[in-house]
Parts: sequence; C-alpha cells; structure tokens
Amino acid sequence: MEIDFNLEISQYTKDIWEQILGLEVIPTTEDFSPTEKGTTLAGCVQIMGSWEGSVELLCPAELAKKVASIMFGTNLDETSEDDIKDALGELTNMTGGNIKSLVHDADQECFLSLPAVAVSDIQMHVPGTHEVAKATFKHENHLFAVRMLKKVEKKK
Amino acid sequence: MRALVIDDSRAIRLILGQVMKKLGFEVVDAGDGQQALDKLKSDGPFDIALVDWNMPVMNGYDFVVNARKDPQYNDMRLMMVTTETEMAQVVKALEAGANEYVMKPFTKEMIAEKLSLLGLSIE
Repeated sequence: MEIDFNLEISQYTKDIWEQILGLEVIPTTEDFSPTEKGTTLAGCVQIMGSWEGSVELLCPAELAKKVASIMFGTNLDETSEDDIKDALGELTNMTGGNIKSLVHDADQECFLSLPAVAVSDIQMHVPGTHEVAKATFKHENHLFAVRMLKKVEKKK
Repeated sequence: MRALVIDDSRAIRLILGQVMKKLGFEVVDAGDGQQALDKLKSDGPFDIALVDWNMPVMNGYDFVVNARKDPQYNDMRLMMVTTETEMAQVVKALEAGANEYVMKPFTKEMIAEKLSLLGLSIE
C-alpha cells in the first residue's frame, strides 16, 4: 500500500509540537516559501541506508525563537541564537526519526545523521534529490513547512 | 535517587532533566556518550541513565555497550530515549543491555510509566 507521506508528516508534526512544546499546529493548504517570508531557519537531517534522502524543517525566525524560548524556559528577548539552533535541530531530529521509521526497509540498516541548522532566505537545495512531500502548517499567524527529499536513483 | 540524562541537545537535556526532577530525581547531564562515561566515574553512582541514540563523539548505543562492560554499573538501569523508532534498533539496544526504550517525542507520563516498570517510582 502506498504511504501518504503528507498525511504521516502532518500527524508526526502535530504530535511533536504538541507533546514537546504544547503548541497547536494546524496543517494548511497555504504555501510556505522562505523566499517570501523573510529570514527562515532550515533544519535538516539526512537519512542514509535502505532509503536515502533528507528531511527539512523550514521555520520563520520569529517562530523558531518562540520554540526555543518554550524549550529552554526563557523569555523571548533572552533566547540566544545557539538556543534557537539547538531547539530547531532537535525538532528536525524528531521529525526525521519518525519519517525514517516509515521509509526504511526492515531487512537493511538505515541511519539518521545529526541535524544541521542554517539561516536562509532562500529554499535549501540538496543536489541529487527531488521533493516527495511537503506539508505546511500554521501556528497562530506563522506558517512553517516540513519537506521530504528523496535521492534520485541512478539509471542502470 | 539519581539520574544521568545523556543527549546532545541542550533543550532535551533541560526538558528531560525537568521531568526527572519533577519525578523526584537528582539529575546530572552529559552531552554525549563519552562525557557520560566520564560522569559515571566522577559523579556516580546513578540509579538510571536516560540515553539518546544519535550523538556526536560517542553515540548512545556505544555508551550502553561500554557501561555494561563494567560490572560496577550492573545495577544502573539504562533507558533509551530516542528518535530511533525501528524494532531492529529497539532489539539491538535491549540486547546490548538497555532495560527500557522510550520514543521521542515523550511525555512526563510516558517516562513515569517506564520508571514504574523499572521499579524506580518516587511520586
């Protein structure tokens, strides 16, 4: 049976944001594009092994700061850049770990990389991959997105 | 009772540490498996270590293997708290000597339930 990745990503993301942050996030059909929304942070983890690709969490800087302030229990104006990167990296890690469990082949090993976080105003490009799913979410007036990219298989 | 929280994310160390403190534990933390082995020597003994899997320097699985090699840590419970959600990984960790396995995202209730199964409830 074909997996509906958008549906699975939506459920995992809602669970993670609610259980770890206590925030309600709602899947939306609105599009989130970093090029239009000012400074965006991009968290990324690679999946390697029986399934190869990456998972990205694209989050506007203002929302990422709110996430970090909740995770570290600090005021918004006390939240440091390191706190923000750590918090977004961990959310990306949890999202990627859950997605990995959907796509890996049970008979083969599959690994998750450590998360990387970058500040970017453009859409991140991972060479040799194509987008297989993108789910956009809304929290209050903020949009954010989770993208799933699969490595393009070489023709034999 | 004393808990060692091992995770490379400062945010998770803080959140999990707060959960454990609310459950009545004194908490020490470490940012990777090697740091955790050092803390076992310098700050031990601990009743339980809560261990992430994917960490730099030394991952959680290697920490479990190393900790279980030393008989002085035989009584310490080891609980994996990780995004590694596949059954093969769970089995691998349990075979290496982990006692329990919690998948992220976790809640205080999930941790409390696992502690209870390990006979470590304080509340």
